[in-house]
Amino acid sequence: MSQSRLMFWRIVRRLISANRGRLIVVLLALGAGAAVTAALLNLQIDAKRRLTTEFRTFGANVIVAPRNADPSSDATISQSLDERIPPTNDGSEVTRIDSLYVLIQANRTSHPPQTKRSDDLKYVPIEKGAGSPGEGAATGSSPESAANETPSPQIIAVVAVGYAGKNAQHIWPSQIQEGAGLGEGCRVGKVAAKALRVHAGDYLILRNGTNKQGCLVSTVEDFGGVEDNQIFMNLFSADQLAFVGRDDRLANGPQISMIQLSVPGTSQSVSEYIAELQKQIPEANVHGIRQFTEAEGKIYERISGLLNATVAVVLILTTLCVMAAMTNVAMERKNDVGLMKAIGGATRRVLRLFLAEAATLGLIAGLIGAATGLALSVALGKAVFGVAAQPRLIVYPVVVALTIVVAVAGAYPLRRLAGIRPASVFRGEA
Amino acid sequence: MTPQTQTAQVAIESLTKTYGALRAVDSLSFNISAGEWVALMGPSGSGKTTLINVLGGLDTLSSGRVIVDGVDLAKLSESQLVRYRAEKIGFVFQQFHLVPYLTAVENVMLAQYFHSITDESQAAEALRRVGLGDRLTHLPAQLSGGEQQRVAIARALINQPKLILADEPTGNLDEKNETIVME
Repeated sequence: MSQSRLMFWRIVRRLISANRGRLIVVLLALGAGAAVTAALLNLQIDAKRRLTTEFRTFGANVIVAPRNADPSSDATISQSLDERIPPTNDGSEVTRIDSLYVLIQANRTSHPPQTKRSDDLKYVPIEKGAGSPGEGAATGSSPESAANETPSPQIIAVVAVGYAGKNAQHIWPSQIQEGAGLGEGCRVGKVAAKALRVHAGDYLILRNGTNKQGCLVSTVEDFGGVEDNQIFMNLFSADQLAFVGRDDRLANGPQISMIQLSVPGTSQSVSEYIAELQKQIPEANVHGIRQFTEAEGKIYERISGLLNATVAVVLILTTLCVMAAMTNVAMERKNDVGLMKAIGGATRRVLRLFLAEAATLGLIAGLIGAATGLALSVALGKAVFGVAAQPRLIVYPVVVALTIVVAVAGAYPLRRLAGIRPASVFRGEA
Repeated sequence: MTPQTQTAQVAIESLTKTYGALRAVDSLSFNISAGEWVALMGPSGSGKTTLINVLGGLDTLSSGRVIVDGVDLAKLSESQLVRYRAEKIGFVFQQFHLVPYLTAVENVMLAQYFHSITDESQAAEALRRVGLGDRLTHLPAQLSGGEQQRVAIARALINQPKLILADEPTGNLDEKNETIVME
């Protein structure tokens, strides 16, 4: 470093430490501004990440359904389509649930259906033709006897949902997932359970035409959504209810109503994934759940706009605080500037000293404030989102740079020193 | 221009400086040769400081001509006047005018900084020559009036100027310090 540059920074250092009280005030103003800015910017970036990744836990964003099917029809697709679904997107795992919706009639039975295996009472397959709607479930020592059980009088139509999937908690509430295995019984939504007058430990007879099945109610769940009207069971049991005796099942393999996918990534990458998947599965209809995506975008726009506006206000207020302090500095330094000019200091060279002082203060306050702000955002994220925000390193240099800009802008009053004439200062006129 | 004017270090011809209706300096003419000491004496308000300011390039003249070391001050632009002050003039003010947050040696180095390059050892030597070898790192507030003025003298001399302008340099000093400063 040249002698002149060393002297430059030596003077700047002296300028900074000239008035410790003012130094603290300016550093506090800039540091507080930097901290709030860093916290809000970090929350903003973190909110985007949450919306594009973690918010996906609220449901599927891609649906694979039978092509040209009437939503109310019982059209199905082959479960073998699963094999053609790309397992990852943007380097993250795509999770899925295969589901089969069957409109059935159900009623409670007071005695457990009996099977030949006494340790497997939770699902009791009943062969085609073993009974008819309204007959009730049997309680004898054979499956047939279950169909002869005296039923409770309430026989209602409900939707039985068979499902199978891996890590599918991103799509459905986790309590549904917990009972996905064979032999785990039925999980009944609270509305359906109320209508059927069943509780955990009761038994249900489920009928679809002549297909019958008994099952143990393992839990009654409060899902807080449409699932409250449904009965959940494993895919095999639903398949038994839906297709036993149907020739198309034998010809095409296991059938399902739809595949729900939770595809991670940005809107654009999810759109690309959908296009690619449609090429892979031309016999089915692949579509994104657009409503969710748009809502997601609107939420982010609102959060982002609010945070940006707040950051702008904070930066403006910080600039005003620094300006107020620098106005006093300008008054104090009139004589110094006059002297510097008198002994040969060019206006630009003298002002460069003060701007360097302001920029250095901005740098120091930015470094400390941004670090504080990132820590603050972790706490704020926890308070607002319930999850600690992840510190984004990109925020750090951005906030430091912004703080330097604010500090230099706040030094605007020092520009009036440019017009000072040494002779006027020495005469006491300036 | 007379032959005498051409050889003088400082040549002043019919210098007039007015502030509105006030004529602070009225048609003043004289020459100063190299190495010559000149003392301006007169009552307060007689225009001594105004003349020093014009000679030092701190103020402009209203009419007439001032030539210092071959430079016609009336023809200099603002930036040229800045270089003129840095290279040719050394100022000593009655009020000392040291930068309060710079140490004694840094106040001397400040003149070097605006002139060309800084040399701390040279600045320290200049302070030793005025008897402040043990006050190099003292701030102006830690120095007596006489010591502050000696720092100002060291600063004025450090760039070996062609013209040293001292405006009542001992005006704020007691007799003892006045003697030290003049010596």
